[in-house]
Amino acid sequence: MLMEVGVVLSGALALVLFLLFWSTYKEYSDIRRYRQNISTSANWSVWQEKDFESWRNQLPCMEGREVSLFVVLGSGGHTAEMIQILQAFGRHGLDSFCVHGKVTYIVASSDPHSMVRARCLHEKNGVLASYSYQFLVIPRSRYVGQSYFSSIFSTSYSLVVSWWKIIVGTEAPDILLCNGPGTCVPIVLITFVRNVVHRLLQKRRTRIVFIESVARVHSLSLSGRILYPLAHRFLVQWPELRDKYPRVEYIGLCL
Amino acid sequence: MSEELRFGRVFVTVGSTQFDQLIFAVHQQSFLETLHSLGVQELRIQYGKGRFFPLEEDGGKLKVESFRYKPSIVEDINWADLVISHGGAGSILESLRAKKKLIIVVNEKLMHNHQMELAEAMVRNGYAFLASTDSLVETLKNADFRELKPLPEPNVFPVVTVLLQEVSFTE
Repeated sequence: MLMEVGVVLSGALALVLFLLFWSTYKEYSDIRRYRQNISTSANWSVWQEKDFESWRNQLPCMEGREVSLFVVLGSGGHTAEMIQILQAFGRHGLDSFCVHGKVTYIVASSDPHSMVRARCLHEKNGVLASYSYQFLVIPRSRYVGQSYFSSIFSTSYSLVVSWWKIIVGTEAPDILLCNGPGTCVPIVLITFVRNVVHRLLQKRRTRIVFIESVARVHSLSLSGRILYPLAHRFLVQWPELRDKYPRVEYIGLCL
Repeated sequence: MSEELRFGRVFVTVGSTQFDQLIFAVHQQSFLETLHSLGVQELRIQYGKGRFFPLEEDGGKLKVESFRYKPSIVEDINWADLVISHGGAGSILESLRAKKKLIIVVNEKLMHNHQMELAEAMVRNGYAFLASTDSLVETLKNADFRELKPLPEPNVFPVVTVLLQEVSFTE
């Protein structure tokens, strides 16, 4: 009897593991194929306002649909770039299209300045005033000058808290938008794992959009290199990077 | 240096870095005299983490003021006609977006830092001039600032389109 239960349990475990493995592989290869197709077809250097307008007018109406965005605010320069991108999105993307929605900002606990800047977007005259917003505060994984040994613990602590806050605390958003420093790596990994599970459960999956900083001209940042295989869209602002990496989209200077 | 292009105000910034060689260089009498000969009346210096150098004389005929940090230097960039920057991404983009003439001074200590990538790209494309702390005076005297090209206007439509495509994406 006991042995039969054992056989059934280990069989079930093997099946779950196999499904997860298969789903991970599918997710990864879908992203790869999607990016391959897009980077060969997209030519953003000639994409101007009038192209955008006529493209947007053909989009199906999404009235009543709540758009949900996750935005990782790095710090300093990364936050500044992200705020500008959100302003552009609010100014040009919102009229008559995804008008309602919510933005969840993921910020490091040591970074109140980013929260102030994000709040400004949602004030009465801000470009995202019609969107509600919330903050997910993540403990910082490594302080400047912290030793590597102790940063192992603080990084795992940060990972566990992020995991808890994102998986348990939130629904899967439509988009995870990130541009940045190390903070966004665990967030993307967690989102990728959630996508793998949601693929099996047939639930909504998150699209991951990574925008490399304007300051990177010749080579991707470390977080960029780590997240290169995991993002659905990978945008760069310098032609040198397009020539070097096959599955990026070159969008020119956007700020 | 052309007759018609004259600078009234110059802003020197080192961001949040320590770059005492630059701060020292802009306190030299030869630098101040060169500025004066170019028509500069006011000089503002943001010296960041570095040491504060009290000005020995009164800066000749220039009005000089220094400060360590401000929450935002956008105001100072808008105030200036010429910006002399340490090459940080923020100050480069803000200066060029505000259509100011820009000289980037390389900090040799950070030479191979990726922070310099953007500075090099801007110089290579002819949007800014490059100088070292030693050649700053020379650059000011000889550079023809009319040669500098304006940075192309940013195009936000690709990134907005990508976001909308992903929002409306259904499999």
